[in-house]
Amino acid sequence: MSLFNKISSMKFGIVLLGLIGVMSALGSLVSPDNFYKTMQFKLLLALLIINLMFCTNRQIIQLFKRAGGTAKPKNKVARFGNVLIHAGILLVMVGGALNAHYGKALEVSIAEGGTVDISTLMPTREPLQVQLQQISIEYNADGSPAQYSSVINAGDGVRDQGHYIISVNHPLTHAGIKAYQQSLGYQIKMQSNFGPDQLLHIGQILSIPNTERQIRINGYAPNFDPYRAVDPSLRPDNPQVIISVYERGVALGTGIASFNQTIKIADDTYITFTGVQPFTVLRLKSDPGIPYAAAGALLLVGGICFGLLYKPLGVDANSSDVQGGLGSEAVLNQNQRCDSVNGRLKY
Amino acid sequence: MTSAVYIALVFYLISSITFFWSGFKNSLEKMAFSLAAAGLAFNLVILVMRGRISGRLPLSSGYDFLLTFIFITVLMFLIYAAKYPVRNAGGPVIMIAALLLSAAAFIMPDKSSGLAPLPPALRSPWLTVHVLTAAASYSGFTLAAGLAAVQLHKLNQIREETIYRVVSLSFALLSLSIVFGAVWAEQAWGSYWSWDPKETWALVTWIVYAVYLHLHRQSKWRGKPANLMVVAGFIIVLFTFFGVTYLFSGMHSYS
Ligand code: HEM
Repeated sequence: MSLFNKISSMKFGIVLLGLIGVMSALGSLVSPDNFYKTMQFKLLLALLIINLMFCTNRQIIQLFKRAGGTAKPKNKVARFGNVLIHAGILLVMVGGALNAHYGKALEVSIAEGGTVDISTLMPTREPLQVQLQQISIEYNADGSPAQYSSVINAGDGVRDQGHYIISVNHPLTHAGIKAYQQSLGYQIKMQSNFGPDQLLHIGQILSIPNTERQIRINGYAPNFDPYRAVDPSLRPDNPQVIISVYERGVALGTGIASFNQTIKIADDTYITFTGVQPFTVLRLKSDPGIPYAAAGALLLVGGICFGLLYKPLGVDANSSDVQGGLGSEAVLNQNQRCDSVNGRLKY
Repeated sequence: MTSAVYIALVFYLISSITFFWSGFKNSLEKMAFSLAAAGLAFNLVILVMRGRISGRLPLSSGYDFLLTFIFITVLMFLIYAAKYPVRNAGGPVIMIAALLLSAAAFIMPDKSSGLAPLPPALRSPWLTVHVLTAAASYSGFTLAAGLAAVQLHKLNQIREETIYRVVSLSFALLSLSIVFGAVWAEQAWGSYWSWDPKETWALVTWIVYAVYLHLHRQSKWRGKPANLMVVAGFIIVLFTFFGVTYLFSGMHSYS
């Protein structure tokens, strides 16, 4: 058997498939984060792509040969479906490979009113700037979030290109990239009697001038409930800022502060939280493999309908479904006959 | 609602034992069939009640998924048993349904999670088709495993072709479920495949049955080795469901 035949054989395909299965399973147990990026694993996938290319090609040739030959074609619909299945898997894998090499994805966070020049971050088809007009959260009756949205303004730096709403499950497709609603958050607005107004992010530590003290913004609870550590409700029914005060790194205490309440940090040193500044986190993505993967998925689904749901191969079209409990001997023989008709499958 | 779970469980248990006990006595088999159908009716009642409370199809939590999975398994078996005279796979299949239902009743921690409003990511029509096809494919693999177990125990009880067909159908459903899930992930998270543990194990399951479908074309692999693969595949299905949900964290930690 020539090397070419070996590489394009079904046997090699099955061995590869099995190896990929075992490796995937081990990868998920041992090192889920980077195993699938290792060279060895990618090599297996690449070999499967090559194998599938040759075997799909051969199946297509055989499909047409059979149609023109003298032997009565058997279950041609299923055969056609099978070709679609293999071609579909091939295309999906090619799409994935293209994405792995040429795709790009990153997250940007934009504050309300802020603008980000997307074209400097992603390979966009045309200049693209995004301004966040506002975020919006819809709530269920129990206060849990029902939908997160960002109302944005797109532009190319010169002209306004319109308003869009990006929400979970409803990404924006624009200028060759896609933007997804990834998450939302808040920064805390603070005024003080010792400096200009500031915007603090959650987790930020601020040294208070002329003292040895620091404050840390531990969190923002839109609906603070002293009896529950974690509140699933995001509706701002009782907004509180949770802060800790430290002196030379030693915690003096932790407390909550409502908006516009004056808090004394040290003698003659006061701060006031005046509100929050929402920001959105968008996930930006460009994936040149998507058309291939999408076409592959369509072929796969079509192939499944013809090849597996309609009348799967291996089920003899002429045999009836009615069967007794012990009649399998004859049935097995019939299957063997079926096999020798498809003798080319032997390897 | 909980009492309906226990009633369905008792029906499934008695039905399974009756199937095992019946040998080939037709009258007992008929009784076992009816008991399974009664269990199925209560199973349906639970699903309808949960659907009415939440106002949507009961598909969005692990508990709901399991109840749906058990329901389709028993339904598929009853359709199979009405069509084919060899019903003795009822013993193992309905026993698996009963064991799964007891897992739902006694082990599953949060039975109320499927009743709360959906988080934003799950608000998608893809949820329905993704989860329904997944549940149906698991059910088919369960039926196939029951048939294969009987076949291994007593060769040629069941036509090989029947097992092969059930696996083909379930494989098709699993493929659809993976494709629908990928389309949805692309829409919700911006990536159709991210090697999350549930995805990975669905792929492993898919590969096991793909290998079975290929090997089955060769007569030397038919019979015992093929049927062993169908049983092994089912164990991986169970791991994909229980193991991955409770051992890993990931996007599928909703269920
Ligand atoms: C990547 C995953 C693969 C899947 C899911 C897959 C799936 C299938 C399915 C469902 C069938 C129909 C089986 C039947 O009904 O008897 C089939 C047949 C076949 N597969 Fe694959 N396959 C895969 C990879 C491969 C590879 C890598 C090869 C290697 C060349 C291959 C070669 C074949 C051949 C030759 C047939 C018989 C088709 C015919 O009779 O026309 N497959 N495959």
